Amino acid sequence: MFVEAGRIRWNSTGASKKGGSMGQPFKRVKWTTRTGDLLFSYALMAPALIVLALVVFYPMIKGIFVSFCDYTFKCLNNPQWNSFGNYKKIFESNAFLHYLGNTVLYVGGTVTSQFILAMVLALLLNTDIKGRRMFRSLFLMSWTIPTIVVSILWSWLLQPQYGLFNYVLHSLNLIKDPNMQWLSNPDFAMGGVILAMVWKQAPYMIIMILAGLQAVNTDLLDAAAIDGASYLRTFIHVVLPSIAVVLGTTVIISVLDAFQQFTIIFNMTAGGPLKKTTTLSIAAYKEAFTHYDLGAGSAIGVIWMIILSTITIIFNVKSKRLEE
Amino acid sequence: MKRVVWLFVVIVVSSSLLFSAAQSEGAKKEKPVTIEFANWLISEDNTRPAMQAMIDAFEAKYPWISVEITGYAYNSVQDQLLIRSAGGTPPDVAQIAPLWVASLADMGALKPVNEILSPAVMEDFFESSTGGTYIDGKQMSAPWTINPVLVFYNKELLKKAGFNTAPKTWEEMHMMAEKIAALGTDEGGNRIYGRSVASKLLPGAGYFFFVDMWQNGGEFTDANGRVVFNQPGTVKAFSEAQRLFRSGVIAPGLEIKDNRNLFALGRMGFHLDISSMIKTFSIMSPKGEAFKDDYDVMMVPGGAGAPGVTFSTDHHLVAFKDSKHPNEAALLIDFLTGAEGMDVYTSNGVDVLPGRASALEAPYYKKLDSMNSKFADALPMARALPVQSAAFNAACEEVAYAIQRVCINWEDPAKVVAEIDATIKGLYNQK
Amino acid sequence: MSIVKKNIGITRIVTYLVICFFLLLFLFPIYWMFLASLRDNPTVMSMPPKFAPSITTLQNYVQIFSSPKYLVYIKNSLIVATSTVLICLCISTMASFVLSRYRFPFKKVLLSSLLSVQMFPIVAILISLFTFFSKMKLTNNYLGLILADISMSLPLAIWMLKSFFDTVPRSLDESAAIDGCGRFRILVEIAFPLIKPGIAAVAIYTFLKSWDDYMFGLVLMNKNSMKTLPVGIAESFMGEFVHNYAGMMTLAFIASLPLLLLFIFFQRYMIVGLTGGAVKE
Repeated sequence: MFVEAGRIRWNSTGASKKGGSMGQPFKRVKWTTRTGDLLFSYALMAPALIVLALVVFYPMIKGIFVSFCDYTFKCLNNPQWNSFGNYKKIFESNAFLHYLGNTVLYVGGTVTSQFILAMVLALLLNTDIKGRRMFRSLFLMSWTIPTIVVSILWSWLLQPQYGLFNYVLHSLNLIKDPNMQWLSNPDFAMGGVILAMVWKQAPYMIIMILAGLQAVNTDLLDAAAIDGASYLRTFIHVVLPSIAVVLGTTVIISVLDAFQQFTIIFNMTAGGPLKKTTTLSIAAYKEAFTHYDLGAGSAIGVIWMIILSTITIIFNVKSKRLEE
Repeated sequence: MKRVVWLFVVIVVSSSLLFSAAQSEGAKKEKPVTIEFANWLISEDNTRPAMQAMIDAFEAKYPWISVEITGYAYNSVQDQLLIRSAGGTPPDVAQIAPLWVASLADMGALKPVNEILSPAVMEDFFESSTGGTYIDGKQMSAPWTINPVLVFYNKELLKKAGFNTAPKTWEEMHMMAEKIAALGTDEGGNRIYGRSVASKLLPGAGYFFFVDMWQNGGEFTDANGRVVFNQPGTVKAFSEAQRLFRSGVIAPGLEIKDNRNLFALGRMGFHLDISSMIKTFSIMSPKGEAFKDDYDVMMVPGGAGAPGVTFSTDHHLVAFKDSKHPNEAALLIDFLTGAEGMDVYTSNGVDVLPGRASALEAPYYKKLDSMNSKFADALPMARALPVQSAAFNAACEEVAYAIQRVCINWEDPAKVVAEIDATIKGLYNQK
Repeated sequence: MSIVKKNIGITRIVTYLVICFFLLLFLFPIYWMFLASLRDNPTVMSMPPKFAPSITTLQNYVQIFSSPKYLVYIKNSLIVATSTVLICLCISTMASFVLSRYRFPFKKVLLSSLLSVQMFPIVAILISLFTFFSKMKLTNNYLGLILADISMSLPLAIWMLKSFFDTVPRSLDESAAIDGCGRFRILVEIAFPLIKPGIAAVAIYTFLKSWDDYMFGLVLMNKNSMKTLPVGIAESFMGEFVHNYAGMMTLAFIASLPLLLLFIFFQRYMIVGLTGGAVKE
């Protein structure tokens, strides 16, 4: 310990003697200094920041700026400042709360369904069964289909007149009407869209949770078994804490992905019927490309960003509290 | 020594650059030009060969011009043209639906075609088709193909329902549609529908409903461009549609592509569509070419005692202000819309009608079959949609929303029409 | 003893049944896609549906393999996705390491603004993005699309890797430092190998995000030779008049097979990482 302490002290005085006790030249003399740390930190952060600045920050800042402008395709080169004009227009129309509600419903529905499904399947796959690898690969198949194909495939499956969904359900006598409306029924359209999304995205969650489960420390499991804990107690007190990181990460990924989702909803329902599946991303698109009002589209984006940031901040604060 | 070598390299490089620049200055006349033509015909199976053939013929006629075709999916064309124009790198020529012209014109992205085409060519275009995109005294797009919308009817289904002749009035058509829907199911056990009305939340569903609106005496805008959507005729059209949706004569929540599939499957009595669908129906139908014997087309039957009114959904061509080759763009537009281009187009199996009088010289138009003759006859009668205003696109989507409210949510037609009228007036900045 | 064994046996059977049930639900649409690829459109849409495999036509496959443009779409997607993953991994590993280990001014700000990037709807910034990239000559250019795709996955990649790095105890860093390891070597030789499952997870996620991307590919690549798979599928099979279901399903099916093989391969790596250098508390 004394020798080590000595070594540390030697380094911090900046001695430049070449060749430490390991026989390697000290390349970095001031490796413990703050400056070195700072330089290193910024240097390694730089590429990420540059890429993001280039691709996203700049258009995003511009987007925030034009959300306060009268910015339509007519006046692309000289947006006129109209302070909160766009925001007033959005909030006055009452539609915004509607869109927000749809978005929350969509995100909540998708993430919850995926989570439950993935948890159940991961737990089942984690048991002592043969062919786990094969099952895992088979489940992954739906994830490899591009989203645009998923939207067309499910539109087709849920098609009232020549879709398979109705045929199967009707044959099993689960529904009365052989041409039941799914995507054009205001009550079921959201369900249809969520179904397609879950079908595509659940495999990722399954794989991640399964990986997390398989990484749980077997010593802890054995200890719990020796203590005579029931399955449920083991699950809650041993397994869950171990996979908390994985769970948290996959849930956050799903939430943010679901918020951004555009392709599936647009190609399946175009935001209808009766605007019941118009989420914020669809609304932003329609403001920009149907109403040609880019300012309003950006304003929707800004509001959305504020909402999501607030949620993330709350989440971070809560998880910090949990850690403490 | 190194410096000398570098200096030498610099001199050699710059002089060769200057030399080659001088060279290209001299060879101006036959300098090869590449223009970009954005369209969606190249993407679809039944029009791809025609598109390729047209470009090959054009390049053969003008050997120094090579055309780079950029394909887009139909649903993405408008967005992409808007984005590219905003970014300053539009294509040189683009195929466009008139519905999208106003937004691009408002942006100042288009070069009016009357500035690059000769007066003789401009004279040649049909009045009825150029009017729609004549904005602020300039002709913003050149009509390429005019597609009047007529009624396709399935003769077999009519016969089964007990009718041997086509309906003469709009009301009669609906009566026949109800009887056809009453047939129930076909041999495969699949539901049969009387007629099609698209009701997905997209502009296309909106403007197709104009046919219903017009046959009932309704109007969208008056002669001065004021929105007059709220009219008894329009309310009647919606009420009638609501009744037919409710009784199952019309299948709810479909977009026009679904309706086409149903017609091709022989499960639809009456369907409004354009002439290019004739070939598509043969491709989509299980009966193949033989399906053509099962159906026929007719002019939209008039309602309320008036003659029938229909519209045309056209394909136009536009040139862009930021294009570096306006002359070559003009040549392409002239070729495609003229007799030569239309000849190649129709020789490759696509049934389309031209936007120019001289194009009728193409051999195809001399020997039109009976179905296509009917489309040609409807040409002068088809109204152009009021696309001059950029707000029309959003307005059509509001009409689609109205259809959904009335026919899916079963709201009161009069109330919905009044509310949507107010919304549309808002879009047009009218009170 | 025999009762216990029976219970285990029944549990196992039930487990298999439930798994197979869900597997059926997940795989059935894919089976349907496969069937569609072997049929023509009229057959595909006629009811009642024929569930038994039957080949009506091989035309769909012929069409796809005879025209190079479809394989070009797949090639472009592969190039873009692979490059995106490699570059994104490098960048995010570096960034997340310093975010996990070091304190520096603006760290909190950077961390929150990183995630905020993921929260702005892409559709609202498409025009500014295109204009900017156009000026920088990054359109119709693999690099442009790669950068755009990286930006989609980067914030979450950094976030996820940071949490993985957080679980690697600092004591390992410190003992390595004492032994004369420089900062970068600590990252590369000590910390990086311990977060292999995190790396695998990020890699899979980033790859698929890039493979799946429709918006950026549509906006940034206009040239037919540069288009990626989703854009190509939409353009080729979603026309003005009809959807070519059979063709679309065929191409999607063909394109998903190499992807599946890639993932199976990746999975092995993930397992090795987990059992080889498991993250311990």
